[in-house]
Amino acid sequence: MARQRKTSLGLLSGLVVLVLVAYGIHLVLAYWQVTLTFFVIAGALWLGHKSQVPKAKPQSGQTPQSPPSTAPRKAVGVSVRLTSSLDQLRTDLKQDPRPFWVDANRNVTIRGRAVGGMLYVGEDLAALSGYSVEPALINPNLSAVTQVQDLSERRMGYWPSYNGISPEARGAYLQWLSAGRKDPNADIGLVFLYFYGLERRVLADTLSVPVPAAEIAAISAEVQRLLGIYSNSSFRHYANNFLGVLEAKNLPGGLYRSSPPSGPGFFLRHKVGLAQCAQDGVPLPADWAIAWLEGDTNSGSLPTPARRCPSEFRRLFVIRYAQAYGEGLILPKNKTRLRFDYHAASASFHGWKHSLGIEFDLPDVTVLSSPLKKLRVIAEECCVELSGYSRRLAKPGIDRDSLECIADLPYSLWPDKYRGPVEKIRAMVATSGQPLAVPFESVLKWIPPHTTLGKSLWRSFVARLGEAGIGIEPDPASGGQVPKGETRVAFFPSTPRERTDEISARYRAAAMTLQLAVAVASADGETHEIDRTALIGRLEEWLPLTAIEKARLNAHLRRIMADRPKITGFKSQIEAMNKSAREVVGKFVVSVAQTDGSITKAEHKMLERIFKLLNLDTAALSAITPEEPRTVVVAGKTDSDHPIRSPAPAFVLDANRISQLQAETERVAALLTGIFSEEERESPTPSVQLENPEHEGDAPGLWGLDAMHSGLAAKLLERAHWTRTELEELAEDRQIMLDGALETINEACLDATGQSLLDGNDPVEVNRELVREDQAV
Amino acid sequence: MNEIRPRDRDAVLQALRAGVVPRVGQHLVQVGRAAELDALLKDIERIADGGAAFRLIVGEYGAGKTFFLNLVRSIALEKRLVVMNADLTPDRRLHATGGQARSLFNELARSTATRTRTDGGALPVVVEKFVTNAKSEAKATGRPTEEVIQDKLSALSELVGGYDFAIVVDIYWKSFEEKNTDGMASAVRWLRGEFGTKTEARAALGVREIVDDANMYDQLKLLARFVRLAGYAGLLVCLDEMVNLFKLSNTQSRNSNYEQILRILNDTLQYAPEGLGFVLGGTPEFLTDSRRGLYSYAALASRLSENAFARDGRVDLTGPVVRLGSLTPEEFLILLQKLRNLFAFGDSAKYLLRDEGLMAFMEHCHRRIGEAYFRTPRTTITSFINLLAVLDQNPGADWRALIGNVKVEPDKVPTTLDNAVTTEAGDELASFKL
Repeated sequence: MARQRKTSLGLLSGLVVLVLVAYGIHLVLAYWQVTLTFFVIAGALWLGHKSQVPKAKPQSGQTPQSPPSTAPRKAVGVSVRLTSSLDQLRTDLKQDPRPFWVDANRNVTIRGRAVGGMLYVGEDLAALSGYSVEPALINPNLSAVTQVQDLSERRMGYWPSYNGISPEARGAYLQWLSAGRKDPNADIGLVFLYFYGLERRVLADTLSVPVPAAEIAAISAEVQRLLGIYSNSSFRHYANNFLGVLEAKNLPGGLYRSSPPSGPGFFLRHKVGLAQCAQDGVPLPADWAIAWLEGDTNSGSLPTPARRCPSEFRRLFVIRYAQAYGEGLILPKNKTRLRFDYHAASASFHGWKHSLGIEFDLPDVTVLSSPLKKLRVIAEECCVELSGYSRRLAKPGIDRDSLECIADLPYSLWPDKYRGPVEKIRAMVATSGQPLAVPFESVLKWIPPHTTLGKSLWRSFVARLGEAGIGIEPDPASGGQVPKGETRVAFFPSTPRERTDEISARYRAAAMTLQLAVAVASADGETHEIDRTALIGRLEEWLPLTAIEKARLNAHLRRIMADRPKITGFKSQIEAMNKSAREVVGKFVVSVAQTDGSITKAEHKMLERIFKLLNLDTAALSAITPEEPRTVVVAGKTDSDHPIRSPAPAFVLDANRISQLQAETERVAALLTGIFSEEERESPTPSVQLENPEHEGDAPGLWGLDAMHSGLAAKLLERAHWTRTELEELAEDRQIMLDGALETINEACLDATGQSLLDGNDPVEVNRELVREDQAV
Repeated sequence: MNEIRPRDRDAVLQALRAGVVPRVGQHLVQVGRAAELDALLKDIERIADGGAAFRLIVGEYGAGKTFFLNLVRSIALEKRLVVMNADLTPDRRLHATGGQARSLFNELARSTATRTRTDGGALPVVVEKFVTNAKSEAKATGRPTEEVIQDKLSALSELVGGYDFAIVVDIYWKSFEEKNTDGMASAVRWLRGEFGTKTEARAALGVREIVDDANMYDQLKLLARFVRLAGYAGLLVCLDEMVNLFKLSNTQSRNSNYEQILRILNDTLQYAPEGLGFVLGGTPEFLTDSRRGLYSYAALASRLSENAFARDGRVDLTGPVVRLGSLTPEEFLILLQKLRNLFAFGDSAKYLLRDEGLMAFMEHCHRRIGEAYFRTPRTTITSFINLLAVLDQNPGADWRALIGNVKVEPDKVPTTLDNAVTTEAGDELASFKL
């Protein structure tokens, strides 16, 4: 009889509760004060009948193998579900957690599974808020399936509770627990359910009952272990904050002196380290700067190179950071205090009277955006420098040590074994002040391994050496070939700034002329006679060169003099020159041949070949016979780059067309003016009504905004500038979304006045004109 | 005469001086093209009314396609549309399998602009505006915010991929309520299409779909519906440099891209996605080349073929193709007049050059580089502004002497020109004072 009555009564109240729970589960959490009233009424109703219902036996022990009530309850399947829902209404839930907690040393068995410890087990422990059953509490009386196939399946909703989830989900949870709590594929809900218990034990129970320090340490270690297995971002967020709050109370000073905690995410320890750095006025160490950058979620992730080759990125960042800020950026001491608001994962904490927040006496620099912007500029520059290397790495089967890779890597990141020889060469050319010409074979000994040395590869290698302050001849950028085996290459001091791809046509002309001249001068095998400086000096009389071009030309000269200069490979260059330019080159070559006062037969022969190459009439050479020395006047400069245009046809305009167009343009202007300032024409009616901000309640809102936005707009008008941080605080006070609110205000303002109220992102500037306009009205 | 805002004036002059198309204030220097603008304006109004539009802007190099697109963009923003714009590149296409279409979407999402955020990056703003509106509505009607949001989002669910889209928006505001910045960042990342793999998205947000190459256009349609829910008039997508599709050497991938264009065209002309418009800019070869252009795709050729009667000055702007001719010398003169007007803040008393000065400048340019000065006017305009700047800062200088010294080169890298003009003019004046 009693059982039947219970069933029908349970059904009645159970239905009421089920509807409430299903309809407003999140409302209970967000507006619990309101819904509490319903619960109390329903609870009172239920209590009225309670005396007739046999009381469920409180669960005090920790391992009830099979409580007597389980069997009959199982027999009436439906009623089991209903009574379990009824549990949520019980006001006689136990508040004292001690009898329920199973510590790590014990191994409790639930429904035939040994699930270990660090759990709450029992029937009626209240959640911290006091109005429902503790979500983490494992009630052994509730049914659970014995074997679940796939732990990764999601079986529970947001904020699960053990007594609220399905028997399959409970079975999955017990299975996960008993299997060592480490299945990496398990649904994150299971992990959260377990985490809820740990969270309560450490953050709540410690306030009411004694909890041994060793146990807290063990729980902290356990959460760290879970973090090592589960990378779900939500879980990582909660678990790291949990660990943060554990260690927050005894963080040492000067955290920034050691490296920041590694791994993804940005947590309390990072924030405290940065804050201490600002507080102590110490330059921000580079590794902390990187941690801050990587932890910043607001400005989007860093470009790909920072993720694909993190170690190179970090090293380069350290270098560029030091170049930009020396020892480091000094962070400002802002006024916002560092606060750590702990938002518990467990629903048990919702509506709990204690606050879990911690306030530090440190400035919270992470709310500032200007230091971060500065760091980001450096980081993005680094990424640009690394982009070639990063793309190279993305190709499959690439060897990081090959020339292909190294040539894409900024010089300052080169491994020491490749830097060594380069530094040696730099020291040599710097001390001697002269270019250094060596056979290419000796260079091949120390440059990184490669399969084929193509033009583009050689070009990027040369560009890297340019970063080291060394120029090379031949350089593909200046029209040189890729050196092979026995040819010589010349090194010369260059500035890292020199962009090799900007070598002018002038230089190329000079290099060619020089090569032809040396060919003539060395035709009789007396290359040593040539005075290099004088040669370049004379060349410069008609071809002005920059300092860096002169250095390069010097190296080029050195190289071609060491080798036997060829006069081939200029065909296309010569074809592009006009006749007068070719004549000038010819004359110069002749003048070089004549420097020593006479022209030998060999020299004459070479001159003839060169003239043929230059497509000039060799008859001109007959005038300067080998026996008869003669001075050739060199005049003018090559103008091959700019062929003079033929005169353009006469210039006339059609007057009719102009007036027609003018009329059309006027029409367009009128049309566009209508679009871009339609409001301005309406503005004579004063639409700006900046009332006293205090009266926002009764006055109609500013620009037709609702009370909240109107209030915010009035607040904004008080100052000309707002930083982003200040605005965020304003928004937080009002519990609104900042960007959305600003957009709404701006739109309303545009509609009303034709001008926008706010400008810029950080700092935000307020168009105070609008206020003045209004006051004038 | 309505006054010229100093901010607009400086923005326009600086951009033109640097040889790029201004982002704001194009209306201050627009010359002619009344019929074309009228057509586009009607398109924008149709979008704002919940209709759809598709336009292909075709013109030669230097004809002012980009300028025109930017002008349309500005107009659309003023009309409360949300505008996305991007240039196509070899890595950003309408259809691809290697992430290039998603990359185009990334760029579009990044460039999202609203009337108050003309510089782009307004996608989070749109989401927040949506939530803010819903909150206000909830407050006004006394319903729970959650319910209002779900109500509004349910309108999305009927579209392809709308279910996941709604979930992500929902996560964004729930994360905001929980102060979970990670969640908000993840949601925005998803909306911008920055999740590379489904696994990643599932771990962060619990959704099973991501924006990828295949559903990028569906995502744009969703966004169009969403911006309307957030209180904007509609969404306009501007795509420039369409010639990059023409340059694709692989016939199959080129055709798939054209198929995508066909799909968009058919959609906008037949089923009319709510409040979505496309404006595409490209060169004539991209349209008419019968081997590789849009005309190579038979279905598009018939839809895009131009009215056979509309030629030699007669226009028909009811079709999807809008042709922009190059500037004529007469139009160029009016452009110079407009620039002069802009430079003087619209005050004719402050004009630095009279019309004869403008003519002299044009004649000078004509002698130097021939027809290029008005056909590809980029460098000529830069020199003209430089000339005005010198005249402005050195009152008493004689324009006749200066014009002879103005160096104009055919449209090339424009930066060297700046220095050339100012230093030469400076020298001239130094000796003048002595």
